[in-house]
Amino acid sequence: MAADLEKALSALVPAGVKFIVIGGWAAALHGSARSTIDVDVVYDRSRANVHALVAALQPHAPYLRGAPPGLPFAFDERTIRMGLNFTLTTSLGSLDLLGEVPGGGTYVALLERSLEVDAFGYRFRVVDLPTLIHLKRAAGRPKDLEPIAELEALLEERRRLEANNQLPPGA
Amino acid sequence: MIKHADIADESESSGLTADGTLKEMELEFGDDPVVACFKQDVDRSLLIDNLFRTYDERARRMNEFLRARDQLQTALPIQLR
Repeated sequence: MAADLEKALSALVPAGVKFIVIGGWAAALHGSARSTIDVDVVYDRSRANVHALVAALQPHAPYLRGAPPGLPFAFDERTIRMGLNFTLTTSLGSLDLLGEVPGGGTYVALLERSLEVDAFGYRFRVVDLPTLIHLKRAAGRPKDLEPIAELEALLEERRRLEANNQLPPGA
Repeated sequence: MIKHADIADESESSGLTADGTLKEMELEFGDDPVVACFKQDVDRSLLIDNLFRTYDERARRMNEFLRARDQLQTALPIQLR
């Protein structure tokens, strides 16, 4: 199933879940031409937000991606609090819930390195482009080297257009 | 070479301030020779086109592409998936 950000937002935003989009979808939102396979979000680990997160996703059959069927996995507040990062399949598509990311820390730490954007009729936060590049570098995965090159080129072009006042409002 | 404010910190591995926010520091991009090599072949025309779009337009275009990709994958013989 596609990494359907629209469906993920339809569950998370109306429920008031605090999260920041990172990863491939963040790259796409900033203008990357690469496709992605899942939705990655860093979520706020506060008790209230974990409660909201569980309530928002429980109806969408979250289960551990790649795990054999039938495991006694309960997507509830205790599970989220006892764990940190979860790679899930859901009826909304693949969804990675990250309590902390290498090089970026937690939701609170990333908050000032994110911006609020509007897409699909929802307002939500996405990590800014320089920080996204940093996170990909910090992940240290060889497969990210080519995407990093594209993101750095994207940042160069964005700064060039901004310097010349060539970007339209909202871009 | 592009400079940007990085979120890491050399003195404290967490890179966080006491209130949990990220510290500012300068980091040089483009010092990785592999990344620099890949960057030479990036098609910037696609990126520039995207930069003139809104976040909503970029998101919708990506969603359309991903849905089309899913449909295409289901159309292929199983051995090619």
